[in-house]
Amino acid sequence: MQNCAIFSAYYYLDNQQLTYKGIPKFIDKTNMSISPLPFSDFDKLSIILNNINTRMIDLQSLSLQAAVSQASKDEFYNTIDKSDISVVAGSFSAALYPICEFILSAKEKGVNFVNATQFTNTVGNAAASRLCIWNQFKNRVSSICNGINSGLDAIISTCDDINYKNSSITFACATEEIGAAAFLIAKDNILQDKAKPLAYIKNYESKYVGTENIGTYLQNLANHFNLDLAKTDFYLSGSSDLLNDTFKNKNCNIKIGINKEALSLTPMINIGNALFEYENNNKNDCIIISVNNIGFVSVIQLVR
Amino acid sequence: MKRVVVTGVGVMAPGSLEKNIFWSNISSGKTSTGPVTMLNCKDLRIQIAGEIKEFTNKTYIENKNGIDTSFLERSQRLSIAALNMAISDSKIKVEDEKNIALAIGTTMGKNSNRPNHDIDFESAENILSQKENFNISMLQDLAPSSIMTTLCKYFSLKNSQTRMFLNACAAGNYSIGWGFDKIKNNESTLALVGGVDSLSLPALMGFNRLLSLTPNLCRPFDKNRKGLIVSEGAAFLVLEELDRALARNAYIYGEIKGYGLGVDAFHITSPSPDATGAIKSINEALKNSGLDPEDIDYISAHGTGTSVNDKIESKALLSVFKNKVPPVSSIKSMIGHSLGAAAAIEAIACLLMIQNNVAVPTANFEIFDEDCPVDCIPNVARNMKINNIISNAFAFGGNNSCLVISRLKGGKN
Repeated sequence: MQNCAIFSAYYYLDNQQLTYKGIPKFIDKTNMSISPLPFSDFDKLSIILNNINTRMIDLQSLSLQAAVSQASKDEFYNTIDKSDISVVAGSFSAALYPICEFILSAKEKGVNFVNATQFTNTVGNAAASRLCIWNQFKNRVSSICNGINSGLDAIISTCDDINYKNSSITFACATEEIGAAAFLIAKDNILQDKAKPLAYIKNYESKYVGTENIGTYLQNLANHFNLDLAKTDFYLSGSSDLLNDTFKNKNCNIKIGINKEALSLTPMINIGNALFEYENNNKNDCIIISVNNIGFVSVIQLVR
Repeated sequence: MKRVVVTGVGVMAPGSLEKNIFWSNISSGKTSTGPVTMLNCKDLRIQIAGEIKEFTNKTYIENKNGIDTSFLERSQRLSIAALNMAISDSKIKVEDEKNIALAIGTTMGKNSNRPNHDIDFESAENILSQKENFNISMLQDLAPSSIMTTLCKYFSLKNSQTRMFLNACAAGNYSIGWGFDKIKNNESTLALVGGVDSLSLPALMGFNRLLSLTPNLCRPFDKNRKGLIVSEGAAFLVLEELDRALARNAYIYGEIKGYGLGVDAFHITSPSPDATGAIKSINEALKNSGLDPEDIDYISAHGTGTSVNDKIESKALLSVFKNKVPPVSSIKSMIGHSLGAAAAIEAIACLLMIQNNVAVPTANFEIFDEDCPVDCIPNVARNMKINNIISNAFAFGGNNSCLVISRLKGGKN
C-alpha cells in the first residue's frame, strides 16, 4: 500500500513559520511531550501575509496560509501545476470560535449590521476554501472534523483519495486558532523525478471502536499492522491514559507520550518530529496514533 | 469495482417528517416555508424560513444506549431521527454489521440549545473568555464532531469508519460520495451517509447580511427571483454493495453511479463567473459514472433562487449539455435551503422521482429569465421516464459537487 509519500511538511506554530526541521524545539525534552501553544496573533499573520487582504479573516484561514506559503521556497513545488493540487483540512474546533465572535458582533452592531466576511468565517470550509482561492488550487477541497483526530484523518482521507485515483497531489492539513500544519502528499511516482520523499505512509486506519474497546484495539495494534516492535517508534496523542499504559507494558519505544494540548495539530507535530529523525538517519518505522476518550482511533504507519 | 445501490432512505424536511409525506409535498408543488416561529429573530430584516415544526422527541426518537435525547441539541436529534428511518427502511440490523462506513455533512454544526430561542450571547462570551486556556471537554461537546459521536453511540456503530464533512451546502453530496468510494473500492459493504442542519440564527443573520434572502417566496430560475430561504432538515441514505443487496432481497431505490467535485478558487461567497468549478464537477461525475451528457434525463439543480447562483448554474448546464439541457427543477423552491442537509434530501427526492416516474416541479415560478434558459418544470410535476439524474450541490468557497443517480438496470425499481 506504499502509494503515498510525504514530500514536505510546513507549519505555523507559536507565531512562526517553520518546516519539520523546526519541530524538535516544540517538544518538551523532559517529559517528551508538546509544549502548550498560544492563539496565533492576527497582527503578526497580517505582516507575514502582506500580499493578501487579511481584514476580518479568521485565524484558522490565515494560519493555514502562513504554513502553506512557505512551499514556494521549495524548488520542486514551483514545478507543480497548482490547479492539480487538492486540499483536505481537518480541525477540532472547526468554526466554533468564529461563530462566537459573529454572535457577539450582533450584540454590538445589531443583527442586521453584522459583517459579511465575519459570517463566512463561521462556515467550516472557510480555511480550506481560502487556501484554494489564494493559491489557485483547483482539484478537490474537503473540510473534515473528528475531534483531536481531525489532522490525522486529513492525512488518511488524502491517502484514500490517492488510492481511489481521485487525486494525486494533496495538501493534507490541520488548522486551529493556535496554528496550522500542511503536508504535501503525493502518489509516489508523481514527483519522484523532482523531489525525494521524506517518508512513505505504509498503512493507515481510522475508526470508531467505542470507549470500552480502545484497550483491546491498542493491544492488537502490533499484530494488526504487522509491527516489529523493536524497530518501531511510537508517537501518542489523544485523551486516553490507555495509550501510555498499553505501549509502556509492551516495552515499546515511545518517542512522544500522550499529549492533546495542540488539538488536531498534536499528531501533525508528532509526524514532524518523526520526519526530522528520518533526516537524521533513524531507520525505524513510526506509528503515529491519536485516540480520543469517546472511542475514535486514527493511526498511520510511516516508513522511511 | 463494486456497484453501489441505495436500499434505505430517511428524510426530515420542512412540512415532511417521513418519505411518503415528503414525496406527496414535493410532487404536488407544495411550499412549506413561511414566517419563523422557532427562533426569536424579531429584529431581523427578513424573517422567513423552512421549519420542521412537527418534530418532537417523544414521537420520533427514544432514549437509547445511555443517551438521554432530551439533552441533545436539535441537529443531533434530527440526525438520529433521519438515520433511524433510513435504517428501518433498509431492514438492516446495524448492530450485526462488521464494517460500516458512516458519513455526515453539515454547515453550521450544533446550534444553541436555549429554550427561549434567543441568540446565545452568554455561551459565546463564555467560550471566548476561555480561549487562552481552552477546555478540551468543552470543545469536544460543542464542536460539530459531537453530532457524529452521538450517532456512533446511539446506534452502537462499533468498528465503523467515520467522516464528518464541513463543506457547507455541498456537504451532503461529499458525504454520499465518500460512502460510494468506500463501497466501490471494497473497503465497506454498507454505508450510512447523509447531512443535517437545524435552523440556525447565525445562518439567518449571515445570509440576511449578504442580501441573499427572499422576503417572500423562493423562485429559482424566475426572472424576479429575490433569493433563498434558510431552512432545516436531515436526511440519510443506506448505501449497499449491489450483490449483497440482491442476496438479501432488499428493496433497491436506485444506483449511485458516481460523483464529481470541483473547486472554483475564485471567491468565498460568489461562484466563478465562468462556472469552471461547477462544470468540472458535472463533467467529472459523468466520467466517473461512465455516462454521456445525452444519457441524463433530469437535473436536480442546486437552484437556490439567488440571482447569481441560478444564472451561473444555468451557464454550467449549457456548457456541459450544449443545446440539449434536460428538464431541471429545484425543490428548494418548496422546502428552502437546508444547508448541510440539502444535497442528501435532494438525493432522496431524485430516488423517489425514479420510483414514481415523475419529475417534481420548481414551485412559485412566474416569469422566464433569459439568463436562465432552462426548462425548469414550472409549478406542475411532469410524468416522464427517468433513468439517469445528476444532482448538483454548490457551496460557499466554490466547493462544487455533482452526484449521478440512476435506475438500477435489470433491478427491481
